[in-house]
Amino acid sequence: MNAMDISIAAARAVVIFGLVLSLIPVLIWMERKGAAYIQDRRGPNRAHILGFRLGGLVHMLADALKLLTKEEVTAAGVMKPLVFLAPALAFFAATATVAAVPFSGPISVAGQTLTLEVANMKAGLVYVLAISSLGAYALLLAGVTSQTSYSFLGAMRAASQFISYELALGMAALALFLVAGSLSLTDIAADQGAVLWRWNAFRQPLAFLIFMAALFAEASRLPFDLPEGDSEIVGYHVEYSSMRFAMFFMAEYAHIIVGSAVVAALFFGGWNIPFADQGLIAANAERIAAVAWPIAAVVLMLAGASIAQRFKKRFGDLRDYEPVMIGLPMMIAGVTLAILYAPLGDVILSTRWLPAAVTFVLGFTAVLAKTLLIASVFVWVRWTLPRFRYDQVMAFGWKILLPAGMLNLVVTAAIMLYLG
Amino acid sequence: MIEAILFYFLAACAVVSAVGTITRINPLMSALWLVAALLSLAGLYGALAAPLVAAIQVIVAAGAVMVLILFVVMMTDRGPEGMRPRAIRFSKMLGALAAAYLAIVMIVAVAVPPFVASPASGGYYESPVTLGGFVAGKYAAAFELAGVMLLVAALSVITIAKWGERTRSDDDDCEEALS
Repeated sequence: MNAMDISIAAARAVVIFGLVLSLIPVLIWMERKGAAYIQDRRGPNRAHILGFRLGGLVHMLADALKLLTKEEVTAAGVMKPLVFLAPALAFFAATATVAAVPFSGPISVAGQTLTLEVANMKAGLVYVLAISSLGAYALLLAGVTSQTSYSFLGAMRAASQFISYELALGMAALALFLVAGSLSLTDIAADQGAVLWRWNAFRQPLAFLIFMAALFAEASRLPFDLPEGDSEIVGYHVEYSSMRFAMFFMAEYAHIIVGSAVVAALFFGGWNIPFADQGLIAANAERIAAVAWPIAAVVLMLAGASIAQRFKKRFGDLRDYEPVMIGLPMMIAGVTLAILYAPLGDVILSTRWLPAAVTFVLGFTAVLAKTLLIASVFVWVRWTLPRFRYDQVMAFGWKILLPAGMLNLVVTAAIMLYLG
Repeated sequence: MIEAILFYFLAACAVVSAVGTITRINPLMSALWLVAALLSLAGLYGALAAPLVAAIQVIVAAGAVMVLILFVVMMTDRGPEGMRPRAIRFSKMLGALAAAYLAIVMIVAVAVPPFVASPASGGYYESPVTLGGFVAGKYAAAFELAGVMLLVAALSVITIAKWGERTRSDDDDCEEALS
């Protein structure tokens, strides 16, 4: 392992971790807008910087400022180190899982094959289960060290819920291991290939349903949000304020993002695009780029124009000019792209690294699109289903999910044995 | 070089947290120290080029010790501040006997190493097939015995918890009769 390898590995770790971090506000924004549209409201749309509202995204910045400047309260007589450790552990467990997730297929640059995950682990699936199960400790620590009955109740609920649903999660993942013959997330994604009905969501529909249900429970999202239970016990983080609370909040959303990325890799072929496999894309990279360039220019111009024409004097302040300030630069960018096509097109289209770049961009876009789509299912379910009762959670986990997972595992094993 | 530093660091973590496990009075704290000890062991496995074993160790640490903590809470049944120091009769005598036994076992183990250096090359312990072969083949009996032991422990804790419930007060009995 030379300095080059180490620096590539470090760069991958930083970039992918930064990607997860920057997706957190996007997901929170999706959550608020999703909630609003499901409840027939407009959602966040007031905060603005120099008139830029960006459809409510600026609210996330206001939130961050608010949380950072709030007073941090620590109850008397608690074990300080553990109180500090709990949110950090929550965030660590939620984000460290992403190390095993492939963000694009293997690409070859200058005779070298680059893989786009932090660590290509042979035991990737077990690693994901292991790290995500550590998250329960954060909830337990937070709840128990706060010395409040409500947070203690939340912690106990969290612990028992995690133990119950971890088994179902493992059972569903084991069936995938049998199908792909490898525990590495990259291998499982590669094994599904580009043929739509070879994706595990279609080959293993029962495992997919079990995995999703268990993932909701592990992320303590709404049908299973008993550890928090806003309307009954405020839950394990009732004693936390300011940025320490924000760490829990961010960990919850990071858990959803990373969980969605894992589901995308395990059940939806990861970086694979339906019916267009990596070899096909690499072979036709030049054609794809040659078509995509003018299309991008035209789309930018049209989208910019349609945004800019919404200009209307409504508020009487800077907010009125937001459509123009966003639409015009988009139109200018589109025109620039179109003009640059003539002198630069041939140079760029004939470069050596074009196939690698096109495969990477398409694969990365596919992973990101799948991840956000699955994350939006989390939002959708949260604002649709009410919370389970505690006994229902236990009965669902132990009496339905676990037996179904075992059955799925046995049937899969039998079929794999029969097929040889 | 870096492997040596990693080894000594993780080993020191393991020893310190193991000492924490047996010296804390609050059972919850000793359970948390146990988690730290098991995680350091997982790190050691990882440093020994066995990431799969390390990951499984983390799952065991997280899952099994979590159950242990729930047991503790069930048995004491009074929340974190109600947990009293544990006391067993003849505990010192039992402890001395157990320590003597362990010392003899360790002396024998160091004098006659039962494990020879593995012939495996890199990646041998990474494979789930290798590990599965061990667990379901060579060490199947030990594996099953450990499982039975855990089951017995779970059953006994439930029994103890329920037994404590029955003797607590008469009000509970009335509720039970009504329900």
